[in-house]
Amino acid sequence: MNLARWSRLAEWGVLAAVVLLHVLLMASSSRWLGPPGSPEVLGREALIYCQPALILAWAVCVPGRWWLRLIGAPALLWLGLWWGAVPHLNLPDYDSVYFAPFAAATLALLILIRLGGLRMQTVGANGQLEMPPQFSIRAMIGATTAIAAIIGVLEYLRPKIAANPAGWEALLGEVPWFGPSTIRTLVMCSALALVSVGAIAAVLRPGAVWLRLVILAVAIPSLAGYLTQLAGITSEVSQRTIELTVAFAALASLTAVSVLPLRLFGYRLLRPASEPGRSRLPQRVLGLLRVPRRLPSAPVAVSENAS
Amino acid sequence: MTEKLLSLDLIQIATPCQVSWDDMAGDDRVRFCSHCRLNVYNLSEMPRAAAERLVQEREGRLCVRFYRRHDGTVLTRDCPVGIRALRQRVVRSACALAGLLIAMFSATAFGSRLTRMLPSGFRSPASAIYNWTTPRPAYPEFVGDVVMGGCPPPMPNPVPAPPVLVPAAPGE
Repeated sequence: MNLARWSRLAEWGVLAAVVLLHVLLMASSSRWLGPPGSPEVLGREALIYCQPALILAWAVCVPGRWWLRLIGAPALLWLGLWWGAVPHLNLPDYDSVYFAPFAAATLALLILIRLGGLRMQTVGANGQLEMPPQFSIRAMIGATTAIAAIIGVLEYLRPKIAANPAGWEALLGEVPWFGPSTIRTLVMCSALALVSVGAIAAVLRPGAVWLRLVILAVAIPSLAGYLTQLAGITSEVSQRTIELTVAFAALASLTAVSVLPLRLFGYRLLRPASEPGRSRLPQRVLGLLRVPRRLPSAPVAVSENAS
Repeated sequence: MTEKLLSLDLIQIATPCQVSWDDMAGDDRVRFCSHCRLNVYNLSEMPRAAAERLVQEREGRLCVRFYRRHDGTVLTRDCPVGIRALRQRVVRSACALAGLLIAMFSATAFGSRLTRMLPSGFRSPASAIYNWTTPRPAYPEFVGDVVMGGCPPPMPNPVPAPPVLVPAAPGE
């Protein structure tokens, strides 16, 4: 039994199933859609945010020809915007206003990830090698500090976010530009970007996926609950929280499923091991402090050619 | 009498080549290097006996590529650890495929039943997001009574009557 062949067949099968899912969701007519909570509606509306996130992740984190990504990403994003704006889709209350802030927030997050040293690389091309999880104290400190800073900013903005636009101003269209609605749009688009990029990272980071999926499953309802509370919603609080949770969960699930074939093909979003001859600042500091360098924790494949 | 084969683990590479394997044309086992115009054999894609026989037959005069572990041993296709990892990979991919297909099928078949479990007035994701970002404005409260009834057509303003002069009473 040729295990490598069967493995490749199953991996290509997963890729085909994901492509089929996207095509079905994109091509399905609005007449076939069920009530608001039905799976096809959830998938279709999650696709609006999932596809830009995937395109931007490809543009920022995947190595390859930079000019191809520079040209391809805006073209694909424009196609996505066009698809989102197709009238026959009849998307409820969807406005293309969300597209630009969502794309900007996702791009900012992905650039931060890239600046943090993470990039897409293949590991275990022959199915024989797998990387252990990467953990960095510096990244953890950075992430917790960022979360604290974001919560601080949101708490500072809470009075503005929770403020309901005054009746006569809203009626006459005299709502200030940077008013509650604008801030809410920015906050919501950032939350959506966080969920989609979080799903990509949960699936593609090296190490076991299940632990990160559990964290995501806890973080999504918490985020929805916090946003409901932040907006000062007093009526139907539980229902509004459930609705946001379902929206975030649909987006995270579709994004995670979409990048699953990449994981099966051996791609990981990882911090590449530093080259031996290359001096980096932390290593120089460790050297000055006489701390021994960390040994590579993964079995490194040595490729040698001889003639 | 069978000839004793050369052990793969004894292979030493004098000058490792920097040409990328991905740039060469061919399959996983043999690729053609356009720089040297030679075939490059991937020993890690061959069983150990076949790889050792190949090296023996060519008397070491061939281009090879292989994975070497940290302990110096060469990884081959029939390595038990590699086979176990490959088996795990098959199981993982098959489970992912089956899970995805089952999820798609069950969402299509039982989606309507699941939808009924949601509370009435449940909003779809796009609607929930829109509703969160654009709340309904709070209109000012009015104080007064509700008046209801048929509304007559508007009437022209009545012409004011000329002032009536009342003659003064005698004696005033």
